[in-house]
Amino acid sequence: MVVSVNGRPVDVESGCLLHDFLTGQKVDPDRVVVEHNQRIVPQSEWAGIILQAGDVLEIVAFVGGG
Amino acid sequence: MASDQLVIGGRELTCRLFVGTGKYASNEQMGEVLRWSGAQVVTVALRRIDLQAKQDDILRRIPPGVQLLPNTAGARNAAEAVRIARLARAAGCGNWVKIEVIADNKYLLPDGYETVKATATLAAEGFVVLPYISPDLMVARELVAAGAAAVMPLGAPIGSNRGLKTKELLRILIAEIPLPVIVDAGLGKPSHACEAMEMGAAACLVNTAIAGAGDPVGMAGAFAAAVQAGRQAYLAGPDRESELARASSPLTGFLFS
Repeated sequence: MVVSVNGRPVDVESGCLLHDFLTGQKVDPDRVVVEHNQRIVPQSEWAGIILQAGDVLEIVAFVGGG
Repeated sequence: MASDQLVIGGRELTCRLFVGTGKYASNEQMGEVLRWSGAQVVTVALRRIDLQAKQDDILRRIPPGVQLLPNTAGARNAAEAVRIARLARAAGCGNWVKIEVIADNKYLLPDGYETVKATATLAAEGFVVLPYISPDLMVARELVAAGAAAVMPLGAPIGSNRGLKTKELLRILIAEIPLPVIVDAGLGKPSHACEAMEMGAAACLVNTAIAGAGDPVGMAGAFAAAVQAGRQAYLAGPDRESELARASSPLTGFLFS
């Protein structure tokens, strides 16, 4: 199934947990904030979310800016 | 000199130079600049991570104890700014936010109306809100009512290094707004920052002029000294200007009279 990750379609196995997806992508959990269908998801809840087709993930981090 | 602290959001600041973290040659250089500037408040932006590339964590280069001021750059309206601010707060680096709502890509001028809306929402949620604005008295007054912690009017368009082009309007904000007025954007040289501080600005925020300098670390030190000199001059109270000369030496007791 396909979910949207930072605006791009990404193939994930159905039933994939948010936590497992992020770990698989080697996302540093302490560096990022994750939004799942426009809801901010604290790290403690990552393991409880099962991704569904069409879900929208935003994974953001701080960068240099003025 | 007696203690001269700037208090924003309950935090006491002794350094009145705020520094941006964009456009440096490397994160190492940015870290050096922050150390030499002595800045206690630094801005950062929030962006989508690139899953394909390993990215250096900017937070590792920011000295401990420094207050992060995430901006909402990229927001084109109040709703987008609010969304970015909430994400930034969820990163666990505090509740300060620089509201930046820009729908004009040529001059990067802020949208005052949307900025006021975002400020009201976020201040009610407990954010310490520092909005980036054009130096417009009416917008600034609405921001006071909306619960802003400071206002950050531009001296000239972002990244333009042109200095205090809005000087007369800044003067009005400094006189009328009962919040810290922090000149943000357009300051290109330490003399610009010094002049803003002499006029009574509470602080200056500088990024491009430091990052783009031949020696960013040297320029950070120069801006820090200029901001301090300007503040000291403001507190000391500059003497009046005069059309005609006013002799500095006594006009009596000449040898030749």
